[in-house]
Amino acid sequence: MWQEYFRLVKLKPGKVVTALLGEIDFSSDSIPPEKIKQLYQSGFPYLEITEEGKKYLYGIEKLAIKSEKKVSLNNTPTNRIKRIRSNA
Amino acid sequence: MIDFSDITKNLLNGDNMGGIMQIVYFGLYDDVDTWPTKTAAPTTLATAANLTGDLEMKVGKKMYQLYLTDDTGEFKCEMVGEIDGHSFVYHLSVFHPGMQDKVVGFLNAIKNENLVFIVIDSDGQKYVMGDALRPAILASSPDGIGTGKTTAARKGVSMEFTAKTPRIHIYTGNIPLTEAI
Repeated sequence: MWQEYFRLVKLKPGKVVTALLGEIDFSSDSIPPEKIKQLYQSGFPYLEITEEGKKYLYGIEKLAIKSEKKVSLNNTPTNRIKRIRSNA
Repeated sequence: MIDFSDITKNLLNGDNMGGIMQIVYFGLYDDVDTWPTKTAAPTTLATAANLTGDLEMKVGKKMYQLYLTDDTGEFKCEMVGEIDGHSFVYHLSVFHPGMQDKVVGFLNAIKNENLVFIVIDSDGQKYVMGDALRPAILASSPDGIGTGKTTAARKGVSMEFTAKTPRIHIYTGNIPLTEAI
């Protein structure tokens, strides 16, 4: 589950005695993503965040969708031309 | 130059338990890829004590655990040298119970080998024995290696490891017990 959001780097999946949370077995699927997020945010050198992780944990997808909508509804070249024509 | 400050009692949550954990972590000196670094010009007392960064192993290498009987392990820092030439020697003594093949094989393999150890004390503070310049080594067997004389005697392996260091340092990094890739 947590592997959707983070990937272990520089190490094979297995145990690490982490400075922040003690021993964690990274070969296990059942580590709560929040725990991994905590480690990642502390600068743990063996974790990278995935694109899915950025979306899920930091809401980057939401922001991207919102800005996409703004562009598509209000500010596309076609809409801009329409607005100019209707104002003329 | 260090900016000195008051040194108060400052026990975190009041904890100050003696002894070390029942596990120490070891690896071969030559298997270490990156050493944690000491601050070159520390400006505070804390930076004069804490190492920064992680001890990382070479590809395919990792650190291992060595079990010890509770209350038999001790980590000590001995001050050595003459006036104007002081430095320290770390001492780690442990007793591993029994004479099983793994611990006998361990002794045979490391008796003249260069090593690195990470020791965690009872309050969770970590120390690295060995640095980029010098390894930890097996120095002696203070309580012997054997069966003991009586049936009530303690059978097993006593080991003392030492490492020379110019400064005493606290390790704040992680311990990889899985192979580096």
